[in-house]
Amino acid sequence: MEIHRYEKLWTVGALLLIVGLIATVTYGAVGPGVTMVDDSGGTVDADSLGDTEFSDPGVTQVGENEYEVHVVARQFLFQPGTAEPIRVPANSEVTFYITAADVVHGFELAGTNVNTMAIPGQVAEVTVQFDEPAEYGIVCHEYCGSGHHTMAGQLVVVPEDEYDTEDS
Amino acid sequence: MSDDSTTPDDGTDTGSGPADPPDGTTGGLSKRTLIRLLVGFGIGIPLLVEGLTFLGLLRDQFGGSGGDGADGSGSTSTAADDGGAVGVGDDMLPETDRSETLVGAVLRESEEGRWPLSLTVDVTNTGSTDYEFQLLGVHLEDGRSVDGRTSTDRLAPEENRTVTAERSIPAGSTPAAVAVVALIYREETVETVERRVDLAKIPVRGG
Amino acid sequence: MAYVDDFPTDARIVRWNMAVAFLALGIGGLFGMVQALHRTGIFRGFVSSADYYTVLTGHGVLLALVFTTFALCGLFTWGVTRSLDRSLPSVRFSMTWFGLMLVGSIMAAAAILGGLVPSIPMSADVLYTFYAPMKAHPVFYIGLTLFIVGSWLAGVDWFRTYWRWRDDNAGERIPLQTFMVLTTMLMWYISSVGVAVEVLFFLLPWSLGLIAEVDPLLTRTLFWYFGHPVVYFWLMPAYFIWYTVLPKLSGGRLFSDPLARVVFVLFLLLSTPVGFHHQYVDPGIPEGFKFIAMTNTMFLLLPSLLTAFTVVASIEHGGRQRGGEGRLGWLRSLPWDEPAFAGCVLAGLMFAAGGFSGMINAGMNINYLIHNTLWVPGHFHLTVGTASALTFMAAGYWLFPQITGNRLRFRSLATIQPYLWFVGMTLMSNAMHRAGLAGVPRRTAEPQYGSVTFEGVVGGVSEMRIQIAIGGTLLFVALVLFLLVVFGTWLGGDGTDTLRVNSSIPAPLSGPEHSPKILDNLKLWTAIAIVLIVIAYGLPLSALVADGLFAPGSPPIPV
Repeated sequence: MEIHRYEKLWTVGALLLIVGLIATVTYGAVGPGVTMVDDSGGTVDADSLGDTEFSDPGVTQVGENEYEVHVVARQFLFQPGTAEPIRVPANSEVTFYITAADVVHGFELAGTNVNTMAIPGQVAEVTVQFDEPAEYGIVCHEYCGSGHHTMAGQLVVVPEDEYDTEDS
Repeated sequence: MSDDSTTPDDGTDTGSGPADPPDGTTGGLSKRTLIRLLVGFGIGIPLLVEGLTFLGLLRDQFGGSGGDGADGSGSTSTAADDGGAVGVGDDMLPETDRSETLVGAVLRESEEGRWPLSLTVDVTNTGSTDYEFQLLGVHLEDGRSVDGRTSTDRLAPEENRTVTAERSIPAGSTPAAVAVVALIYREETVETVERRVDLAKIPVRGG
Repeated sequence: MAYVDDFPTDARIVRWNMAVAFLALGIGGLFGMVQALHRTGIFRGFVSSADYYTVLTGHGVLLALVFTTFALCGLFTWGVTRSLDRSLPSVRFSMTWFGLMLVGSIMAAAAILGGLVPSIPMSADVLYTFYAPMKAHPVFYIGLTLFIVGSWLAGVDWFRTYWRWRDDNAGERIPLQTFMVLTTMLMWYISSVGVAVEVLFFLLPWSLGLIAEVDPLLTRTLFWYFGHPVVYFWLMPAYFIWYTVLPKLSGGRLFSDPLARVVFVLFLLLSTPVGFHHQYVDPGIPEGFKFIAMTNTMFLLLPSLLTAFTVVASIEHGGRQRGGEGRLGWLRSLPWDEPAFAGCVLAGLMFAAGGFSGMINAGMNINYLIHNTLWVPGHFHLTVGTASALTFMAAGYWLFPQITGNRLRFRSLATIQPYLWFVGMTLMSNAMHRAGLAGVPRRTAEPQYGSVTFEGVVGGVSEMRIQIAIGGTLLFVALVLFLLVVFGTWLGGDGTDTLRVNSSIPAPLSGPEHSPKILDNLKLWTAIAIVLIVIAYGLPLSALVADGLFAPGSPPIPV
């Protein structure tokens, strides 16, 4: 098969681009250590969340600067997050465990890379480093019914000295 | 595959030969001018838009103070600046010396074109003269409002009543505020306090 | 002699498929404009925010399934009969698949539109992805099933035509257009298995109450097994036009037939084992499978980049045939005022941009930044919304005279229409990409929240909203122009005009005789495609069903 010289050059260039893109993503995974949401959160029975670790969703401290937040997404609010903001201190490592009680929802801290799906029956485990005090909006970005556009919340990263564990 | 015989078989579409009437052109524009206009604007505007975006991205990345959107023009509504918004448990009219506490705010999704909203207020006449508290229209985020009138009727001092205002709002809309009227009955006159009370977010209950 | 004279019955089949396609395009496009005005807050008077989702479902289903598939069926019927120089074997069979697809579409559309009328007990506000546990009315799922089965039968029709040709032409290379049709349909058969299983074995019985619960992650995974290759079902007919018709429209010939075959084989192989890139942030799927999907996806860039080369080379050849000289001077001699040419080229240009934003989507951990934001619709309006849709419209300008026997009406409207679409889409998609970077969500009737602040990276969010509304409106105007031209042409004559269009397609510069015969070995490529799918999906799917086909299960939640 006869291939024009420019075509060969172009194909080599295309392959280099492809390999380069894969390398970029690999670097992101290996260097800064950005891991993907996976199956480490396990499964849960969405019909009886009251019998699971999601029976009392909220923030718990599990280490010196380590916190866990259990979040239940349901039509049309985040528990916690909507009625009252999720509060964590600055300079902490927070692991979110997120599930859904009814349909598929999304959970995103707008403008950041904290972005995952809340699927009934599955638990999304996401670990985030919060450095600076800030306010983040929580958005449900997966259509979940006619009230989907009202579903939002807030996460507040409180300055360390102002954080009171009773706030969680 | 043979084709119709009206054109020279040069493999191109017609409209390019000088013998053809220029009915592919508009109002006497020459073909060249037409193409210049089409390609000029048609490709020029997109190139401009994308070019400006690219420059903006570069500036955001390398220039400015790390691109934190400090000019504020990037942001939409302010976050949680709801100092005046009334949520469940709050007093609706702190300026009166009577107590009107919002004890319930429920918004449900429904199959119909309208969703039911209930606002429940517990009113205690802690003053020395008669008092009446009314919930009127509900104002929605998009500017519309839904009328209604729910009243405690005239309450004697020490009297307490709980009323629920049921309003039917358009499906998918968001309640922002409720119009309230407080009537404070004095000797000869009635003092009227009319306010638009901002409501804190009421989560929609699904299913 | 035009196509309608040589193949009158097939021309009728093509006409009807194109008519349904463009009707669906019109309705879906109208919904799109309603959405653009609603979600930006410019005008919310057409529907309530709850009904927005009904409109959005209609937009997705009518455009991404009905319009695209019927257009493909029209183009492929034309291509197969033309390149094999023989009619489809049985009119009754052809009308059967067309009828099934049509009835299926009407049923699905009725279920969806029922959501706008409270007195009708049907609704299907599930969006085009219909994720469980959200449940549509059973009529929706039945309609989809009939539609897909109809498309399978359409493929059988084209294969049968090919087999009969093969009986008379042993040893010959498959003509290029037919080769493209066959490889596309093989890809379609392999990929639609996923959604067929999802609907027939899970969602339909579940919506009828025959099974109590389904596993939302499993059904979602089955959908995305299909959901990525379906975009190639939209793209390959566009490539079909760019490879076989666009060179002729440019005044020249296809640069290389063998490369075109290689590209289509690559799509057959790689389209399906990539579905997890739509589920990068799903819990329950191990990272390793997501990584495999990512590398496969990145290699899918190759056939598109090869296409870019071949198509541009063919257009350059055409430009030089028309007298253009110099490094770039040949650009000026191209027929920019010919709507079919302009539409195809602008569609191709826009596809390049869409490809780049697609690379971001494909970059596993980069995807975190834009997943489910408005960036994603920004991306796919460039690809299916322009590369496919505008190419189908451009092909319509070129084909409609040949399948109706009427000259193209409203030619001046047709001349400006592709440029108007291009400008409108640039404005809308550019703003959608920027809004997505700020975190503005997709699929949302009112992306304005009291508790969430969106920081625009370039430009402010309110300025982006206006740009989306303007772009969407321009697109709708361009759509109306197109419909005027096409239906004006069809209904504006009695089929006996002397046509101006030249329908001959010259032979490629480098023909199939220069390519290895193995390229035509469809069985081999299908087998390899299946092996790749088993590698990509075998383990994940078995892990998902290990704890039970219906576990962890969820009951239906009607919307």
